[in-house]
Amino acid sequence: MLEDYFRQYGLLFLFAVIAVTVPVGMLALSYAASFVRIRPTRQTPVKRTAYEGGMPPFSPKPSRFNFRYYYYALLFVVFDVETVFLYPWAVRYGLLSKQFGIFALAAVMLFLAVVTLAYAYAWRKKALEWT
Amino acid sequence: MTAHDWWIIAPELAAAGLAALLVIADLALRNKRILAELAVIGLAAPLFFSLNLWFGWYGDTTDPSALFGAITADRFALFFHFLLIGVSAAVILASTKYLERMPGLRGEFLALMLFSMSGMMMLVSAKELVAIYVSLELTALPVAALAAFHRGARSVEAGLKFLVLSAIASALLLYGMVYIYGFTGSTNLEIILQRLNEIPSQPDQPFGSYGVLLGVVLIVAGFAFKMAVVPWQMWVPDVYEGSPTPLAAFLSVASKAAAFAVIIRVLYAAFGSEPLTQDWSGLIAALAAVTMTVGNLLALSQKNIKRLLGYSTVSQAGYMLAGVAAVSANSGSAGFIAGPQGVLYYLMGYAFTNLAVFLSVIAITHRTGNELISGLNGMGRRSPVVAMLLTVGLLSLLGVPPTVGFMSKAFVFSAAVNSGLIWLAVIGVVNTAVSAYYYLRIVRAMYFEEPSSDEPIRADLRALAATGTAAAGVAVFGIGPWFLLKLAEESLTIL
Amino acid sequence: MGEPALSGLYEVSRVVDAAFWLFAALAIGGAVMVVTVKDVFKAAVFLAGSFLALAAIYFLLQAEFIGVVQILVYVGAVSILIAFAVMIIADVPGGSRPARGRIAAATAAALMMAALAFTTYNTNWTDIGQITDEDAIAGLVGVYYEDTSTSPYADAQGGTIRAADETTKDARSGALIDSTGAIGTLLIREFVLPFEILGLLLAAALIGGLALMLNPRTEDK
Repeated sequence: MLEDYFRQYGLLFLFAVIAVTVPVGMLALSYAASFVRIRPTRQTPVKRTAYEGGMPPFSPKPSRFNFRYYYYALLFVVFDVETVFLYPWAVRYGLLSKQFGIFALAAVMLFLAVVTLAYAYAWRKKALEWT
Repeated sequence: MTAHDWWIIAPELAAAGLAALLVIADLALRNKRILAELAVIGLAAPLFFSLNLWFGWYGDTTDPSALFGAITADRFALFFHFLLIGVSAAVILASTKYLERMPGLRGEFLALMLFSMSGMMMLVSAKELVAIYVSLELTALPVAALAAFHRGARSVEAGLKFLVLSAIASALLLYGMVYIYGFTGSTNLEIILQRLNEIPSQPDQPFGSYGVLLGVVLIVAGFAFKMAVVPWQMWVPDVYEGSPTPLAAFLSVASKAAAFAVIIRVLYAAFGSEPLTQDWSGLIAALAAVTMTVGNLLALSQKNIKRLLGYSTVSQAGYMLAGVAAVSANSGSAGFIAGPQGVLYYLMGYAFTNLAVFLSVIAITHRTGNELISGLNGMGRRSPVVAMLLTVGLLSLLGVPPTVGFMSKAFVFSAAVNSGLIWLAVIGVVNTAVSAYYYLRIVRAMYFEEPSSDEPIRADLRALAATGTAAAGVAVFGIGPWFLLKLAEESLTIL
Repeated sequence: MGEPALSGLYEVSRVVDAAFWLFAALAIGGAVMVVTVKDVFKAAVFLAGSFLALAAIYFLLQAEFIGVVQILVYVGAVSILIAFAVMIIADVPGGSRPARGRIAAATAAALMMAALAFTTYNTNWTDIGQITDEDAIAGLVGVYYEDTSTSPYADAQGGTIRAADETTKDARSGALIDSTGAIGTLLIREFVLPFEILGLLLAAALIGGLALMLNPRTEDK
């Protein structure tokens, strides 16, 4: 029961442990190596830049982003929420279609149609275009 | 879904469909002028389906519940459907001229307003907490966007304030619902009532249990935002001032009516069992007293007409709450519904009154662009018809006989006295006397002050028709209140 | 089941307890950092971290679907939205200055918290379990206790009801509950109305948000 429930997440837990251990371990190892003089620490300005092999950064402050990005963020969030509600329905659809017949499909289609209308609005009002 | 389910949800479905239709029409049509006409004509569909349910023309409507008890089409819900549809039609009619100020956003304005209206229609007929919560959000979100439609600093502030405060109010409401669900194990109002009767109450705890106490308090607090009740009054003047005036009219009447409907339904349907009614009655009575007093005192010093009307709606909400609190001890008696009956009558009368006031203010300020009270100086000469309609509305807000405002206050206060809340009625009467100062100040400005110019102001004919209808309602239902009272009484057979 | 299973359960519950306290500390700590840290971007990252810890708590409570939603919507989408909003802000490193009236706000939050905690501890919740147990489990696995002969779905229902009854038995004996599927059933049955209203709500939110951002003068062409 409770054990079974957590057992199915055992692999996920292992995965999380590895995902955390590897990067943290690397940093720790690198830090520890500086004590036994395997890793020398000679700082230069070039080494301190974010991308050592890339272009020198030309702006000290992070520049402001275009407001247009917000359209896409908004469209994405709505789409995301829409998907979330489809997920449990899709999991049970086999059973639901037997019990409710066409209504199991129609209820979700109505939901989708209404949200799609909002996307049609975004499309026609040129919110999807970058001008 | 059976045919029965479809008939029951038809009004809400038609309202939502109309909102969707407006979005499509806005995208498809080049001529945006006809959108407002389309919206008003389209409102006939939800009206027809509501009338059908009231009179039982088509379909089997003996059992008003549908969709697994989530929604009902009882008379109480239908009463508010009529009110909401009427108010929306009047506001849209009156705002066609106003909408020309935002040419690119006409379709959006109407569509969002109808989305909000369909949310209100679902709110008044929902019988289940999740549906109530979701439809409450559907009423609030479009309004937050609409409030910011002018995009000036004031307007954006209004939208933001509304959005943030309504989010906080929703959070409180959800907390309350969670406690009630946790205690009773159901979100259906009828089952909650049944469970509360079954579960033995603990005599040492208020409301029979702390869980129920906190649940009720938080639910009332959540709805109080929508009703603009103290301490949630702070958004009202800012939003009314910053948002488009038609929206302020819509908010002050439709939104308030829907919120009162749902709080009456929740309190009477889910918490209407015997000892519990006396518990929340005291809570609501205290809220009522504070709200009417604070709203009045803050209104006294206002210079902007929209801010003043904002505080005026706050104090009006206080008077209405007095009716909600007036639940008499014995639920079987005729006095049990006297309070809610007064509130329903009040809300209907208030719809006429406030629409008359707001629509006349729209008609004048749209032309002058001056929203100060002094901007109304001499309107008695410059625009005699609108000034007269505004005066009728203001007198009704004040509660001067024979207006509908007087009758509503009389009913609500007498219900309060009959259920033992004499002190509340006294506070109400004192507040009414105080409110005379600021209502009559507007009337004085219109008739006894010198205007800045003598140029006459001619109002839009459609707006004038809507305003005139509202003002006529104020007079007709004030002199002959029986029709409305009968309607309210019939609507309350569910309690 | 006997002794061993019970002691095993006890072990699990101790691990669960420890995990709960860990994630609760992470969630609350993250939330505190959000309101105290000056850098707006860091505040956004802490918020995402707090959301993630909350998702872990949902998983511990066996509310898997809610946990997934929390990660998908809050960690995935809402954090992105906040991050985009942060990019538009002019002064990111010092933009989140302490607000006026933060003492009043903290007091209000503490009072609210105290009220919730007091009520949760002092309410007699056990009585409810006895009354609603059947229904709670029924709701979880999706049994509908209406007389099937009068139900509009009577002809199609036989098979489903039997399957659901078996699930109820499993639930009572403590087997795994398909909570995601149960929510799927509820979404098109008891809560089909809120579900459809949610569609309207999403549409209205999108249209409202876009209408505020579009330029009203150029867009009519």
